[in-house]
Amino acid sequence: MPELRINGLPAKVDEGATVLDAAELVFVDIPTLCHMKGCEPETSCMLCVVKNVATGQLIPACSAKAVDGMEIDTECAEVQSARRDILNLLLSEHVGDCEAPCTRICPAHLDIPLMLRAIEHGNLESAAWIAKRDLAIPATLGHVCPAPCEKGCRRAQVDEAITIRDLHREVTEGSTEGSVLCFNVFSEKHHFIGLTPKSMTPKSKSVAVIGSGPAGLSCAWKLIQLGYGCTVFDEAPKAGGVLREHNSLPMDVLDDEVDWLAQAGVEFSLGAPISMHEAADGFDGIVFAETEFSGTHFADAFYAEEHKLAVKAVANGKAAAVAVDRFLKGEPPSNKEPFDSKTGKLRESEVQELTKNCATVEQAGMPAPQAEAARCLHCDCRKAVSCKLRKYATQYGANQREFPADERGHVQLIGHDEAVVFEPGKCIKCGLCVKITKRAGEELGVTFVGRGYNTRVAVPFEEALQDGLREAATECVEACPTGALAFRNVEER
Amino acid sequence: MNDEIDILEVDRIVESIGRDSASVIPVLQAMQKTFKFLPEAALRRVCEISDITPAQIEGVASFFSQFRRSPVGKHMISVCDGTACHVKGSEAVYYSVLKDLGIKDGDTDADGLFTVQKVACLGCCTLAPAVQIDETTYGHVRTDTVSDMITDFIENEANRIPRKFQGLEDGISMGEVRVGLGSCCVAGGSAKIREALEEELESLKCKVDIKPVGCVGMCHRTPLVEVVIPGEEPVLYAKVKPEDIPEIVERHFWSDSPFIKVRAATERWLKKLYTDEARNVPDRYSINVRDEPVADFLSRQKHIATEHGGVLNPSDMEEYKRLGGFKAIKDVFFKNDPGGLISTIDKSGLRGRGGGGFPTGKKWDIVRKAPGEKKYIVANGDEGDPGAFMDRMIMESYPYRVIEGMLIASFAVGATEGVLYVRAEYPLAVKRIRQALADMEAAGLLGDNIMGSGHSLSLKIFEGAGAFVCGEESALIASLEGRRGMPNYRPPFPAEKGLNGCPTLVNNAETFSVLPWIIRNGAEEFAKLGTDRSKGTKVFSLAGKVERGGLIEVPMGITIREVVEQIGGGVADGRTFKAVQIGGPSGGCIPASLGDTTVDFEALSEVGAMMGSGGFVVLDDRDCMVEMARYFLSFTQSESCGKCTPCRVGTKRMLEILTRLCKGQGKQGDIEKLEQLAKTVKGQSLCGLGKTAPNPVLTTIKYFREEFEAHIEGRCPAGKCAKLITYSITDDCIGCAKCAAECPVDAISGEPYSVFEIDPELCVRCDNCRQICPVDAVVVE
Ligand code: SF4
Ligand code: SF4
Ligand code: SF4
Ligand code: FES
Repeated sequence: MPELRINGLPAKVDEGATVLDAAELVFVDIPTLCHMKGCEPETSCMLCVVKNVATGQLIPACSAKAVDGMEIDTECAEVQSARRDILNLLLSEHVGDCEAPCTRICPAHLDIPLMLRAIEHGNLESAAWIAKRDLAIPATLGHVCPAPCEKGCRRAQVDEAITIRDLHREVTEGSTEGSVLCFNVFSEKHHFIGLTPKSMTPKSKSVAVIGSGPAGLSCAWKLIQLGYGCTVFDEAPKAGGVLREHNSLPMDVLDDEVDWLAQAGVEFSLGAPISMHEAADGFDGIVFAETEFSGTHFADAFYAEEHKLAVKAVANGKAAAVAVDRFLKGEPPSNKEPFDSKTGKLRESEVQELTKNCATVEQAGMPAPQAEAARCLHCDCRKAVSCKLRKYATQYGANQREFPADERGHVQLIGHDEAVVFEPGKCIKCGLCVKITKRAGEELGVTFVGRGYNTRVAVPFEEALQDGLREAATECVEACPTGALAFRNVEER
Repeated sequence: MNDEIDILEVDRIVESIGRDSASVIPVLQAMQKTFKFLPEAALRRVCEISDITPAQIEGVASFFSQFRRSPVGKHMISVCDGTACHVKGSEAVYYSVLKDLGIKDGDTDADGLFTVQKVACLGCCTLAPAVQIDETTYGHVRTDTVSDMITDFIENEANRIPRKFQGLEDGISMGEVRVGLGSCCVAGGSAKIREALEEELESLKCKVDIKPVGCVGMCHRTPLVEVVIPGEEPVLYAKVKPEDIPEIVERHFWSDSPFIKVRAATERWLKKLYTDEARNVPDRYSINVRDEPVADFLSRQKHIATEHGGVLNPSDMEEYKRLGGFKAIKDVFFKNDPGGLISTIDKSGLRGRGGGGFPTGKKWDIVRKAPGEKKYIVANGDEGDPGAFMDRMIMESYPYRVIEGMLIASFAVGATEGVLYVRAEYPLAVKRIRQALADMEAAGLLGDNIMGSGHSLSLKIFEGAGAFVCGEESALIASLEGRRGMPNYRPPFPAEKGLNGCPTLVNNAETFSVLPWIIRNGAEEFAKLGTDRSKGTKVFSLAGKVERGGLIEVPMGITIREVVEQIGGGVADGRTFKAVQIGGPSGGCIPASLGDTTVDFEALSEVGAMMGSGGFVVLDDRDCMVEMARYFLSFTQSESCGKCTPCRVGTKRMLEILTRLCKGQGKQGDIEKLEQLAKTVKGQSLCGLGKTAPNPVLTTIKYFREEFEAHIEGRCPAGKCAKLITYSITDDCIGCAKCAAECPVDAISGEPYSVFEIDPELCVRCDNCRQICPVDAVVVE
C-alpha cells in the first residue's frame, strides 16, 4: 500500500490508486474536467496537474499512479498558474455566453432569458417572480428604465430587439389584465416563488437601511432574500425616494410594489426624523441608501448609492446587501464575479443558427406577451450553473482574452429539434460522451472526428444526434463538464 | 457524390484482412486502394460484417491523413514540403502547380485528373524541391519547370502499361547521374559517356535521371560523372571512359522488377531530358568540387547502420549473408544468454535512435523483467520528421539487417510476435521488408524454433497511415490496436503494458540496424565511438543549403561544423552558414556561432535542440528564422492528435502568432506571449510531440531574437517573408520578359528589351520572377 503526502498530509492508498484518489482521501480538492469515476482516465484536459515535489514535474493527478514516498503539492503558485493557463487555452477556443448579453448589460442583472422562457411557456407567475427577485421593483422600472438591455439584445440582428422592459412590467404590474398580481399570490403561495417558510422565519440578525429610494428598496429586498430582518427608514411619509418625483410613473404602481415588499417582510419606518442612534443600536448592520448621508461615517456602515438611473440604484442596493451579508457572516469582502464567457458580436449565419432556439411554429397562435417572449434567441448557456469549466474559470480567475484566437469558432447548434442540444463551440474534447456511449453499447454513439485543433465530437456518418444518444443521453448530458451537451428544455436556474 | 460501390469488393477485403476491430486500419487502406477514397457505403458495410463499430471507423478514418473521404483525381501530385524542400522553395512550387492546373478551391482540378497535396518528406531531400506524381518523382522542380513536368507526366502516362502490371518501384526515380557538360567535359568526351549511360540504363530498365551539369571545376579530371541517389552519398567518378559506364551503373542501380518496363516511355524521357533546352539547370548542380572533399567525405563517416552502403544489394539475402549477415544472430543463439546479451547492449552504451535517447539495454531489461506470457516487439519506422528520411533508407537498403536486429532484441526480451511499423508513404520500404520477411521465413530465420534455438518470432508489416504522433510509442500502439493514434499517459510504459496489454519493446528501425554490428564487433568497439554519454554513430539526413546532401552516418561527438563543412562540403551557392536545424519539429535551430557543438544527446539538448529523428538541415543567410519557426510549428500543429489541451490549443495559438509575425502583423508583446505559451505547451503536454513542439520556436527566439523583433517592426532581415519585402527590377534587366510571363498575377510589365517594372501592389511575392531572371535583375528588399 503506497503511502504518500499530499500538501504534507499523509495518505495511504491501495495499489494502483491515482494521486487524485489519494487527494480525495485527505479532502484535498483537485479540479478535473475530463475525469469521471469509473472511466479509464482520458488525460486530456490537463487541469488536474499537481506538482511532484521530488522531480519538480507537473503531472496529471487523475492518471498518475500514487507511488510510495511521493510528495505532491496541489496548491503552489506554479500549479495555480498552470491550471489558469489551461483554462485560458480552453476558453480561447470557447464559443458561448454564460450569461446573455441583455442580462450582462442590465445593471441589476435581471435574468432576462429565463424570464422570457417562463413567459413563453405561459408560466407568468414564475416570470413575475424572476423579475421581482432580481429587480425588486420591476413594474416601476418598467415605466422609468431606459432599457439598456434592449440595446444588447441579439434579436435586433434578426429583426428587432425583444421588448424586455415592457414584458417585465406587464408580468408584474398589478392592474394589467391577464398578468399575475404578484403580491396577491405571494402570501398564499410564497413557497412557490422560492421563499420557503424556513427562510421566512424570524431573523436572528437584522439590518437598517436608511433611505427608501430604489437603492434602499432593492437593498432591503435582497437582505430579506438573504434571510435577514430589515427596516427601511425614511423621513418622507411614503417610500420611493426620488421615484416619487418621476412624472411618467403612475404612483399607484410604485405604491403597489412597496406594499408587496412590506408583505414580503420589509419593515418600513417612515415620516419621522431618523435617529441614527436608534438605527445603530437596534440593528446588526446599517446601510446608507441616500445621497445626503454618504458623508456620514459609522463604523461598519455600508453604502448603497442612489443613482439617477433607477436600475443602477437597484443594482447598488443589491450589491450593498451582499456586502453586508458577507460582513455579518465574517467573510472578507469580495468582488469576484462569476466567470462569464463572451462570444461577442455574432456573425450573420450565427444569428440564423440561434433562431433555431426560437419556437417559431407555435409562436403564431400565442397571446401577445408569449409570442413576444418566444422571439428570444436563448443566448445564455443552458448549463451556466452546473458548468465545471465556468466554475473553475471563476475559481482560478481565468481570462478568456489571455491567449486570443485569430478567429473565433462558430456558434453552432446541433440537434435543435431534439431533446438534447449539442454546441460544438463549448466542447472541450474531454471524451466522456465518447466513452459513455461506447460503454452503453450505443449502436452509433458519438466519436471524435478529425484530428488536432479541428477535432470535434460527432455522431458517425453525420447521423442525427438523437440516433447517437439513444441509450445514454441523460448520462452524457450529466457527465459533460460544460454546456456542450444539454437538455434543450431543462432550466438549471 | 457517387457512392455506388461494389459491396462484394468490401466483403472480400474484410474477409482477407480480418473482422476484428484491430484490423480497421489495414481494411481502410485496402479499401482506399480499391476505391481511391473511402466511400461511406463501404464504411457502413464494414461495420455490418465485422467487429468494427461506426464510431471506431469514423474516428480512425478521420484521424489519419492517408485516408480520404472524397474522390481524388486520377493522378496524385504530392509536393514535398519536407524541411529540405521547404527551404528550397517548395511552397512556391506548390502554388505553381495549383496555378498550372487552374485549381482555385480544394485540391482537385476541374477535370478530376489531378489532386494536389503537400506531403511531409518524400525521402529524397537531395532532389529538393521534389514532386511526386503517382509513382514518378521529379527532382529540383522549379516554378518555371512545373508546367513542363506536368506535360511530361501526361505524355509519359499515355505510354504507360496499365498500372496494375507495374511493380511498385516502377516510376520512382532511383536517383540521378550527373554528367559534366561544361566545355572541358565535352572536350573530354562527355557526349559519348552520356550515350553509354542512356544505353545502359535503358537496358537495365532503371528509372534514373540524367542531368547535364555545367563545369564542375575539376577540368583536369574530365569527363566527370556523379551518381546521386536520394539518401546516399553522391559518388564522383573522374576521367570516366565509356566502357566504365556499365560497371558504374550496375554498382549503383539495380533492377529487381520482374515486370516489363516502359521502354518507350523511358526512351522518350531520357531523350527529352537531354534535348529539352527549356530546362534550365540550376546553379546548385555545379559541384564545386575540390580534391579533398571526396576523401574527407568518406573518412569522416562511420558505417554501422549503413554498413556496406552502395555495395550491398538490398534484396539479396545471399549477399547480405556473404557480407556477414546473420552471424550476429547465430552468435546470440549459440551463447543462449539473454541476460548476457542485454548487458552487452548495456555496455555498448547504445541509446534509442528514435529521438529520446533512452538507453536501449535498460529498456530491454524492463521488457524482459515485465511479467507476461506474451511479449511483443515493434520496429518503429514511422518516420514523420518532415526533414528526415533515414528510417526509409535503412528499411529500403538494409531490410535484412533491421530484421536481424529485431531477432536479436526479441531473443533478449523474450518477444515472440512483432510488427514492423512502416510509413505507408514508403512503398519501396514496404516492398523490400515484405520480401525480406518472406526470404527469411523461407530460410527458417523467422517462425518457430529458429535455427533450432528454441526461440520463435513471427513478424508482420503494419503500414502507418500518416500521423506523426504515432512516433510516440503509446500512440503507435493505439493505432496497432485499431484506435485513433492518441497517446496515453505514461507510466505504464509500453515496456510493461503495451500492445494488447502485453509488455512491448518498441525500438526505432535504426536502433535495430546497429545491433548486428555490436554483436559482431563487441560492445567495446561500439563504445569506443562517440562521447562519454553518447556512443556509436548516428544516421542523419543531411539536407538544406549544403553542397552535398544525403544520408550520412557519423560517429557521435563530431561537431556540427565538421558535418556541414567536411561532409556537406560547406554551404551551397556561396552563401553564409547561418544555422542548422537538428531534430526536426522536436529539435531546434543551432546558430553557426555554436557550430562547435558536438552531436551527442546531452550536448544537443543543452543548446535547446535534440537528436530527434535525425534531420540535419543547413540554413543560410537567406533563411528567415521566424519563418523556420513557423514552418516547424505548422507541422507539429497540424500533426497534434488533439487530445490534450496544451498541445491542441497551445500550438494553434503559437502558430497564429508566428503566422502574424511573418505577415508583418506582429505586435509588441508577441515574443513574450510566444514564450509563455511555449512554456505551457512544453511543460504540460501529455506526450513527446507536445512537450517538444515548442523547441524550434524557443531556440530561434533564443538565438535570433533580433529577427523576431525586426518582424514586429515590419522587417524581414533575411528577405523571405512575403508581406515584409518588396520585389523590384534593377537596370540590369535585359527585357527578356520571362519574369512577366511567369508572374501569376500579371504584376510585371514592360516593353521587350527595355527594363521591366513590378507593381508592388499587385505583387504576391511568389519569388517566381527572381528565380527565373537570367541576369539576377530581380531584387528583394
Ligand atoms: S459552457 Fe460553461 S463556460 Fe461555456 S458558456 Fe456555458 S456556462 Fe459558460
Ligand atoms: S435574444 Fe433573448 S437572450 Fe438574447 S439578448 Fe435578446 S433577450 Fe437576451
Ligand atoms: S460534448 Fe462530450 S467531449 Fe465535449 S465536453 Fe461534453 S462530454 Fe466532453
Ligand atoms: S487530465 Fe486529469 S482531469 Fe483532465
